[in-house]
Amino acid sequence: MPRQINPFFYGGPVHPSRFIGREEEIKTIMNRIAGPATEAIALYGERRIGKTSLLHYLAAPATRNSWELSADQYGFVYLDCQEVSPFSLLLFLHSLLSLIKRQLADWNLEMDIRKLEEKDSISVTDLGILLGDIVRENREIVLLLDEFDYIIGNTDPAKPYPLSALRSLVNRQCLTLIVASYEPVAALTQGMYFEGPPFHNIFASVSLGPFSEQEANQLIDKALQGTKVIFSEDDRKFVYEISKGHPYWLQNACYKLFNRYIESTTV
Amino acid sequence: MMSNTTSNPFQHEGAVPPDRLIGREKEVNIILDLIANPARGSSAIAGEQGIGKTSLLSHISAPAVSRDWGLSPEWCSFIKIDCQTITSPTKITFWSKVLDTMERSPFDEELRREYERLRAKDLITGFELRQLFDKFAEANKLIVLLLDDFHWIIDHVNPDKPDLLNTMRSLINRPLRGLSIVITTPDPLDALCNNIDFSGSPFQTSFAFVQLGPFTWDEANELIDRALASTEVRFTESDRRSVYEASKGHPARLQKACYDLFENYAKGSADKGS
Repeated sequence: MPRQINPFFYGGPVHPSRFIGREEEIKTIMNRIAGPATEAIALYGERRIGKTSLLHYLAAPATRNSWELSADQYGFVYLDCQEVSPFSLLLFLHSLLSLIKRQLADWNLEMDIRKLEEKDSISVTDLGILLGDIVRENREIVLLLDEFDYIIGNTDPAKPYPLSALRSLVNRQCLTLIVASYEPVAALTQGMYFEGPPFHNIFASVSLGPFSEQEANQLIDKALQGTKVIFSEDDRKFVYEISKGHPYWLQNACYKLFNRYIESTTV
Repeated sequence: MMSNTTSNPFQHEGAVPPDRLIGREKEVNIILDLIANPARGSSAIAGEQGIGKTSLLSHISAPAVSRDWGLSPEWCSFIKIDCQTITSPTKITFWSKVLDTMERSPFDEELRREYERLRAKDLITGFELRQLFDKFAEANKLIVLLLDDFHWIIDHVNPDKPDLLNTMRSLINRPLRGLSIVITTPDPLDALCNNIDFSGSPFQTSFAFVQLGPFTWDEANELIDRALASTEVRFTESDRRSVYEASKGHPARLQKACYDLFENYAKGSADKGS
């Protein structure tokens, strides 16, 4: 008999095909992306609440298709900012360019990006020109920056140049920016000196909280599909109460409960 | 009568072979369930020295075991590294060691080209590594890094600039899942990373925790029965209680106590025979 692999998962972000819930948040984000102006959205929530899973879900081709955003017009580029370690603006720009080149291979940007990469130093202006050219072709890059706290934490509060640069790209309508952090951007950038209005003003904030009971049930139903295990109403209440709807703890509780069922049927 | 040449079936040191792991079913299931999930999860095994962490790594990476989870060597490659063999762990030496050890991974032509290109470089950036593991994912292949004694690496990380840990974390959190990591440490990962400033999500939040404890009485008996099956020696109930109590079920200490007891039986038998 083939092994029954436990479908619940608590070792990192979930796969987009197993993503559930967050419908309101997704609607808010997708409507802004599809709207006429480019936007900036700041997603925040506690550790393991599902920020990375949501960003991966947004970046997945199937999601874009379900919102009828054509791959020719919208290019989703995901970057975990901790990858740019040790952080420097130059490395950040290089990392962005390499991602754009690779993830949007069909947009024929390779030549332009290669020219930039061959320069001794890349500036924000260079990136702005490239993005401006993309916008003129009626295309839009949606940049998903995960672990945005890392960039803020590695920016000089007196000269927060990387943040000002991102703001200028958004204000010049060069890209749509979605960032995810543990705390709201306003709190993270408190005490930083910006010329003009505060940095966080460019963002519409979206907070991620625990799952509702309905979302928890959706998660359970989706995971149990294709297995012979059924969680009773009492099981569902128990795992929801014990996890308080926090996705990580909910998955963890469901994982253990699923094993109990498998053990009881194999003994 | 017992033959004088019967070799001692207990191990007084080192990891046990994959087919001789006792118990640990729950732990094996967690680790392999996570890897087999389409999200390709990572896990962190903690437990004191001699508790069986290395044996567990050998067991989960044995094709006879991992195949049950659909993780066949044709596409899923387990790369085991004893971190203490990296004498001065830095970002460069660590990733060089990983790349060197990956040599026999299931490459296709494009992967092999990318791999050789990186291997020839002195300095590998995080985004070059990301590109390599993304390519593995695109080719429907997976690298599972088994990093034994990972505390050695954490001990060498600058707590104010944990670049190596940040890069590793970002690699296992990619939308394309080409890399999964299983680490072992004597203390829980949470405690080891406590004083590190990550300026973002801490390294440990990307791992499921697995704590290894001592053997239960039943597991200890299973170990003894299996080991003695091919010999003529039988441990009495009182023998079993005394080795279990002396070792408190700690696998390495239990093996050592059983090893010594077996030697006594062998010696007694030899004395009788002479």
